[in-house]
Amino acid sequence: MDFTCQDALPLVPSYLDGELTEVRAGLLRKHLLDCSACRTNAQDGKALARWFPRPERLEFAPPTGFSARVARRAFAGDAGVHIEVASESAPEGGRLLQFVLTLTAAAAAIMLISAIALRDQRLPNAGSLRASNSPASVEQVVRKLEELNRLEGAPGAVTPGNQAAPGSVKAPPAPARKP
Amino acid sequence: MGAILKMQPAPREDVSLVEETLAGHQLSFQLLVERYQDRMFGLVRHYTRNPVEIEDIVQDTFLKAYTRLQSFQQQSSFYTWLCRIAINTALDFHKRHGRNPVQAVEDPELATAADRVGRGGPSVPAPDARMERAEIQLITQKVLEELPEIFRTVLVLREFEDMAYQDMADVLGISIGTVESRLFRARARFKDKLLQMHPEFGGN
Repeated sequence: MDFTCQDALPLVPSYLDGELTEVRAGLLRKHLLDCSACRTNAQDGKALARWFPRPERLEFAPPTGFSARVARRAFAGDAGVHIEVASESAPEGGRLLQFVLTLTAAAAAIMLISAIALRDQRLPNAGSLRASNSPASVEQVVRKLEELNRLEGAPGAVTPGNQAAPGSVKAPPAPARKP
Repeated sequence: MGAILKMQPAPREDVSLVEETLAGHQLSFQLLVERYQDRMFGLVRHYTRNPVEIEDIVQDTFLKAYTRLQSFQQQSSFYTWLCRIAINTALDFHKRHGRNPVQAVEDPELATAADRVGRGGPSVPAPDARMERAEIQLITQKVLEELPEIFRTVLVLREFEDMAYQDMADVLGISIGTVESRLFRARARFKDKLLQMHPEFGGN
């Protein structure tokens, strides 16, 4: 059986790599002798292989005592974590960043707890919000104050249009009116 | 016959050294390291050019190999098994340092038999005979660095490590058919990139 170009071309790389069985390699060789197109293809493959020259000598050689050192470390229980250790310890900034992040997280937690505690102190609880125990209305308070003013004859009597804001600083007593 | 054959002790098989190592003989493991350290340095140099990093990666490869020695099934050669660890260690190293190697944008296994009938990329003549070997190596190295990792690895294993397809399949955990198609595509990409970086090497 003779190879056609369709049969031969896909086999050229494997042939050049020495991966074909002797039978198939023989058939391909025969085809290459007869077919210049496939022969050119094979020559291209050979030309490409010359771009991968083996180095004449080792470019990066192991240092003296490398094998003894590695064996010693292996038997000492070093499980090949050298690179992990290096990557963790290499960037000094990495450790600083971790410290800053921890500090920030702690500060945030403290702020959150404080905020919750303050909120609980400031807000009335459910019991203090019962309608039956609610303090007198604003009008009642104003009326009470007016009554007190009248009794004292104070000139700066509070009127509904002149109510002091709750929690405002008490105004100093006004000078007595001239009769 | 007058020739005196100099008797040399046969080198101990890898398997024997592995067994002795597992039995607690440190010197046997040291012999294994010594046997393969040059090839490991040669392999890892395709993943980094920094001598300190190369040494770290190779050392880590052997240390990992030692801890996993029990799992060495002896179905593949010790060297093939070691290559697999070395390549994974080198790629892990790049990931940890945020240096993700170039990834293939297309499916590397898409090279069908129909593709292979084609020429597999442009025609690239062999390097000029006047070019120094070191010069060719430098150009090739630069081109390889530009290739997606998946293509670079098959080219390195085949062209520099001279690995058989079956061994490559063992190292990469893929089928021989996948090795063939990936290699075919890798060579085409190499030629494309070579001509892109060095148009002066283009054929007529």
